[in-house]
Amino acid sequence: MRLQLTLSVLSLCACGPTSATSGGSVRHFQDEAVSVTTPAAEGSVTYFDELTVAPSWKADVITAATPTMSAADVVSRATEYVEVRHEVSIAFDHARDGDAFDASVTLSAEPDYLSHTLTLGRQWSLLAKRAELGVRLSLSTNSVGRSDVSEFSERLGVMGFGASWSHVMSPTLVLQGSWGLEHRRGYQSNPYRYVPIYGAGPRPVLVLPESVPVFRTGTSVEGVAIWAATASTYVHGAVRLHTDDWGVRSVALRGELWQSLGADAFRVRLRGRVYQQSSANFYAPQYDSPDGWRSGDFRLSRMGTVSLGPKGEFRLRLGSRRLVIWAVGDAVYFWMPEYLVRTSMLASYLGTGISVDFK
Amino acid sequence: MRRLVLVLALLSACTPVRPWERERLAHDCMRSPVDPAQAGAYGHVIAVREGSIGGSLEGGGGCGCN
Repeated sequence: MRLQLTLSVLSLCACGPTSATSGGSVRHFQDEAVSVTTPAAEGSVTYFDELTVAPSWKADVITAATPTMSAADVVSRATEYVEVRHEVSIAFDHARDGDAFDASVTLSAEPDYLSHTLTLGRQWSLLAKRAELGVRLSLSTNSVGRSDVSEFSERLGVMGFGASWSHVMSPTLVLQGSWGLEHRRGYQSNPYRYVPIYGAGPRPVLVLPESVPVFRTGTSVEGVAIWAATASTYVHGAVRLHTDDWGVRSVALRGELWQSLGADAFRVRLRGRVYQQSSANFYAPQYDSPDGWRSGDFRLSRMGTVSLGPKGEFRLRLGSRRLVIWAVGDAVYFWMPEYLVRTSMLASYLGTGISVDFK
Repeated sequence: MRRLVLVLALLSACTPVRPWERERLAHDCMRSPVDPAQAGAYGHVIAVREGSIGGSLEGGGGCGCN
């Protein structure tokens, strides 16, 4: 078996790839609490025009401060920390005549969090290549720790399933629909987050670790319309609805406008997104009793986001190679009226990268 | 089942697309997302700061955002 595998790998390498890509990028996200810089490198090699192998690496360099509680008697000082997360992944994709199978394995590690994820996908081309049906399965195991308490160890399992349908409606219009289901089981709190308990008075009487349910199941549907307005202008519009058994319901609207210029040597994109959600049914701005679930996570409160930003792409053809240089920037506004620490914040997302295709 | 048949019938009744009419459809801007890797990176940054789950099929991962 080992000999067969070795021979297979050697024969694959000996045949030589038919195409390859490689690229690198760096992105930076900054809000009023966290700064994340993400260098990344990725590549792919395609054999026989059918089998693609794509390894990638990225790191998140996170500089953050634990939030200062608005109740001054509880936690009054923000604590700064720097943390690095590494993620390596390898993906395989086999495509023939529009039908495809893909699989990927991802390992993510940081001092207090270890995650393994496996995804499997299958796509079928249908109706004389006018439609595509896809299904996807994702399994993830996570180990949650605390960098300051070595004995602290919790587990979280995540299982996801999704199905999608893409349909060519006309020479200029494609519609896509997808459905996703995700089930989480295990530790879903933040081990560093504490929640003040107020009792009957105006001041907190004690502070307890965050505590949320062990199970969570959510489902979402998304519809996307892609329209070629002209030979060089493309418009994308999408709506996504989500609900889960913690009571979080959300709607997200997304739009993109792509403009190709100079025989596709330069592309500009403008994108915008609006998102709004309800709070989890156990979330409260402040808790009066130590009984029951409690969370200080603004993501479980009623909140929304608005983001808007451009992107530019230079696409140069150098013989059999194609060079793409891109830069992106987005501004994001968050509002969370039920969150005591802050009720709104601004964030920025910047990125630039380069990739080369070899044929 | 009847609804599924109706939907399939409606979809198959759309404007026929012949091979020589697929030029615009072949453009990579007619995919969503146009660049899956870049869209995934941005989607992750945004998704970990919102309360919804499901759909993205991203597994766990701490990235300091939990």
